[in-house]
Amino acid sequence: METKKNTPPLSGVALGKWMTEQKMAEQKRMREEWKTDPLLQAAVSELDKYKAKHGTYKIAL
Amino acid sequence: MEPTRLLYKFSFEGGHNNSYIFRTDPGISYQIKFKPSGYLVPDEPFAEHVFELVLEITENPGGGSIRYDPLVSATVACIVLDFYNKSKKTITIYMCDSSDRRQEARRRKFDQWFCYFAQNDFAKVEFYMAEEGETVTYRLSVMIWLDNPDKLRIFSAFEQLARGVGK
Repeated sequence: METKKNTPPLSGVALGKWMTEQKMAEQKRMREEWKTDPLLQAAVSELDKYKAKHGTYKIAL
Repeated sequence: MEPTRLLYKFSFEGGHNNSYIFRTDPGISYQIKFKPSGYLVPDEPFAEHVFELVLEITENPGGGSIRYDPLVSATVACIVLDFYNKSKKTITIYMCDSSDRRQEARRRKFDQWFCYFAQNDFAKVEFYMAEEGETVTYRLSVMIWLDNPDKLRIFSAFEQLARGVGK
């Protein structure tokens, strides 16, 4: 099970504030990873190749 | 004949946080993560199935505001469905607050997806956390597969968490 280095407040508003701060920090990490992670760049390059060949994806639902 | 929908091709990158990515026609890139979050309800038998959804625009080449693109909601929807297809026991939580317009825009995306084509298959409950005199409200959305046999216990556990009951 996932554990956090920073212990979250137990509940209520304090927990809401803590989770929001953690989420914003994660979003910042995601933006930084995007610029530097070669695996992500390779994956998005594959998506671009797919789009160039097949256009916008269609799915039956 | 089954209806077809347009959406952007996405890729599951996996990893500890179950990462997905996609890129729109204008070249805007999105990443979605499902972060294991059982630490919120460690004593519950369903703790291992709790994931926090985090959505971020990771690349916006034009800068500035992003025009509404209905295919984004459809793509986010398919990503969430794809993740639930890995386990029907999945519990997704989504936290946002009222102080940030960008967060509010992401919350709308989450709601658009749910209204768009999830409401027949999923149940969602929202818990609001606010203190008297404070201007910021925190909203915790909890979403489960409609047939989840533990749904009452799940929603009760998150209600207690939001309200600070039993802590």
